Amino acid sequence: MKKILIVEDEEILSNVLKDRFENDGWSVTTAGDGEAALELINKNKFDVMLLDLILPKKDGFEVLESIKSDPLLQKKMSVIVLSNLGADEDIKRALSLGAVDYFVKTQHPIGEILERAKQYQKSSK
Amino acid sequence: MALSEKLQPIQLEQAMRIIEGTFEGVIIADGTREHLITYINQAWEKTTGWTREEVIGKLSPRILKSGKQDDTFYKKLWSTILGGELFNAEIVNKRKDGSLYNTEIQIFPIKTADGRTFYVEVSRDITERKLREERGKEYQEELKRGIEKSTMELRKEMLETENAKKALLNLTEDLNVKVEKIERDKLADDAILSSIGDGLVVVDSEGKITLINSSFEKLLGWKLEELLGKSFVEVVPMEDEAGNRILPQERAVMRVLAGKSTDSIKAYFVRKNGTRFPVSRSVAPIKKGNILGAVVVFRDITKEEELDKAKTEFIYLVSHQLRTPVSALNWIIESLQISFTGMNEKQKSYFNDIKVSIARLVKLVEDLLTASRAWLGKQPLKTQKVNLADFIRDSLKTIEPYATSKAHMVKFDKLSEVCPEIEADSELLYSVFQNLVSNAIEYSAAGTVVTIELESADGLAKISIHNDGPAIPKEEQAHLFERFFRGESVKKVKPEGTGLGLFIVKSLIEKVGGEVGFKSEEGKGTTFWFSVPCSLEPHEDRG
Repeated sequence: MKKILIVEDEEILSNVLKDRFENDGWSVTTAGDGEAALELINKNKFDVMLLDLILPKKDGFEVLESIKSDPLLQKKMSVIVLSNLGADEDIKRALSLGAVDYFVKTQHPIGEILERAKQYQKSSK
Repeated sequence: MALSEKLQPIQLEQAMRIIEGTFEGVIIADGTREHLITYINQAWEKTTGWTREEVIGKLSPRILKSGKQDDTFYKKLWSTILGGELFNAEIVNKRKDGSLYNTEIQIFPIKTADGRTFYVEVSRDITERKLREERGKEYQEELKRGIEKSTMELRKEMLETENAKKALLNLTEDLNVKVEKIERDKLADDAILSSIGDGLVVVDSEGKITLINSSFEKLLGWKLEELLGKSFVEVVPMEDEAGNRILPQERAVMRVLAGKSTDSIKAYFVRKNGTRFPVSRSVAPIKKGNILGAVVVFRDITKEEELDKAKTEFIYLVSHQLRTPVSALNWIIESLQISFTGMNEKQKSYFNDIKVSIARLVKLVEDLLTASRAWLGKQPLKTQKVNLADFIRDSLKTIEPYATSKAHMVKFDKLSEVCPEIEADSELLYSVFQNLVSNAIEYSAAGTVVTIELESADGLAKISIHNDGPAIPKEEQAHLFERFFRGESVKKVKPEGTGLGLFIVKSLIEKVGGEVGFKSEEGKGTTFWFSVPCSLEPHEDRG
């Protein structure tokens, strides 16, 4: 079963993403802030993580930094950043911290994100 | 009075004694006997050198003739004497030995009782006197000459002094004029220095302060008197963002004085009271062959930084806060569409309307963001090699659904060989391209063709987008690229347009050194074009 962790503090978005991925046969876990996300990563293995950058408690960058610095957390998980920050600096920073992809939410339909997630999941097998 | 009358009361002998003994020469000549000398006294002998034995009864006074007196003299002499008068003169006589002497003579006649006329001459040797007179005269002459000479010299000196004085006066005047000008200039300079809002400090070759302006005093809290002669870098410390002091030798002013170049780092000056402010400063050397000193001009950029911060926050606000609900709407509609089967026509239609509206909202947010970035400033380019023909084809694939929905056909023609690749920010390029193509589709009738042409010339690659829609009204043409401008005609076709599209196109293309333009004529359609340089130099962000 494809496992995905969706880290998003906006419930509406979180729900619509969850529905979509579940429809496609994924096992979906959600987290509403950075700290919860790290706890979940610690205890579980996910194939893909959709990570928002603006989060309470710990933000997306901090999550990425924690994963990068702790090999135990990496666990062959593909991190896709989903954010409404779109500045070049943000993208660069995220990618340099280990994200494999970056989507600005308004610019892509969920379908596209879903397809990409499937690709990463397949290739990490 | 006749002499004979004078002699009456005195004895002749006594008279003779007087005459004999007197220092003046006396000679008497008998007028009736060819002027033969009848008497001479001792003085006469002494003066002339003749003796009694030689002259008495033998010679006349003619023997004394020196030849120095002319006719006129003798005429005068005789006419005077014969008139019975006294004759007085200074003459030159000759001695027995031939030498000449000056003498003063007085000649008068005496008539005796028996009718004889005797001529008496009383004389005085005035040779010495004459000599003295001569010498005196000479001396006087010399004196006069000397005085004249001295006078002339004095006059000359006075003239020179006058001239020197005049020259000095002129010089003084010139100096005064110059001093006045210097003082005026200084006042002007002071005024300028005081009025410029930037702080200014001049240092000598060792970095010691020689001049500051009033803005310096205000910004840093020091007074000139406290600072003269002190080292600038010591008096005004500089810190980096973190609060670390920048070492004196690293300070720009010391580097400039040492002839090195400087970099500009984000830094803070520390005031007299220990507080600090962010500063933008520039240093220039004062050179005249060697480096004589330097000038530092600086500005408190707290406001600029606050403005920058505000801009960044605004952009952040737009990007995150606006995008969030918009993306939610987008995705929900997308999901709804998948899960909503069996909608009736009306529902399907409304559904579509929601989708379109959301799409427009998304577009607006994106446009606002791009516009604010392009306009407010900080968008550095990330360029890559772009093959324009490929780029256009790819972009058209993305745009195709939209075109089809409007029943348009889009054609692409490559007119000429284009620079093989250009360095461009492909996102930016797509933004521009997509804007213009969607405009072309939007503002022409359904079923018409939109043509895209690619060509290059003169180091520029040009992309033209043409539609056969109605011409853009002349009065609107001047405003097309203005922010938020929407013409009346397009408002009817697309009421919810943002008016930002062409503004963004212009900003972005000009940012990379390209140009935009258009041509629109009734019956001939409208062509919008933009050109980019074939080799795109990465540009300094020009805001």
